[in-house]
Amino acid sequence: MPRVTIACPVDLRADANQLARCIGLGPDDDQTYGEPVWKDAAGNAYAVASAMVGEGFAGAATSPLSEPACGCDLAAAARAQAKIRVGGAADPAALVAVFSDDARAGLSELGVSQHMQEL
Amino acid sequence: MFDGVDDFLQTGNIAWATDEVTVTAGLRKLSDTARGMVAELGQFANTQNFQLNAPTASLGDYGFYSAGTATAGLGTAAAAPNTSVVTGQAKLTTDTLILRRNATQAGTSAVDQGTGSAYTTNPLYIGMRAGTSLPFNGILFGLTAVNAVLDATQLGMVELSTNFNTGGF
Repeated sequence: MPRVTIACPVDLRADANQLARCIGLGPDDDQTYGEPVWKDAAGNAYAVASAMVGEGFAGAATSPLSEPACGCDLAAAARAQAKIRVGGAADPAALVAVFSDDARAGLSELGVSQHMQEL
Repeated sequence: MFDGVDDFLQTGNIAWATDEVTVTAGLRKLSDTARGMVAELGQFANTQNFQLNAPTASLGDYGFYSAGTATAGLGTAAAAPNTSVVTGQAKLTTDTLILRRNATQAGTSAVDQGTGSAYTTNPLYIGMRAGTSLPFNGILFGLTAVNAVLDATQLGMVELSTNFNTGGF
């Protein structure tokens, strides 16, 4: 199974969570993108998700969408789908997905990190 | 398996009720590139909580922290990848802090932990701080958290049983 690591710009989270619900395994997938605690070099904030996915994930994510049994906001999902880009650095205007078996390598390609926090 | 990005577990609220803790983790740490939170009680540091790190902000180590209104911490070097059984023990009111790795004491501290008669009632977060930051990158084979400072016999049993699934020592 491949691993995908996705950087979701803060303003795309609601739409991207609907896309995750649409192509995911159930209603809880709309919690995929949480707090935007990752930042790129320019300081743009992202929520980052990483998971093992089925071989058909890329196809499902880029095919015409249909509403799942649990329901979703198809219009929002479609807006997020239109912003998908595979590979490269995180982009505040795109949902960038990196396929790498090593999540840390995925983060490196995305160019995002978390800043040190207090104890 | 915690991917170092977004994997975590969260319990319901735990009424800790005492100022003592023993937390033992059997784990394989896969990365030292960023601080990783193995287990932390509550969402806030420095407020009557404890936390087990792999690694700490110093990287290349394991660490254990306990806080009343002030924080005491200990670290022990072990570069990733590394498989260990790591134990932290603390008692707020006596400023007791002990860190062990693979059933051997790695350090103690009597640094002031401030005031506080008990750890807070909060969820135990496993694998990230509050489910949002400091993601642990590695494998967790077992985790035991007890609201008491276990004695040597009890602790030996916990560490040994944890090691059966870990292979740290």
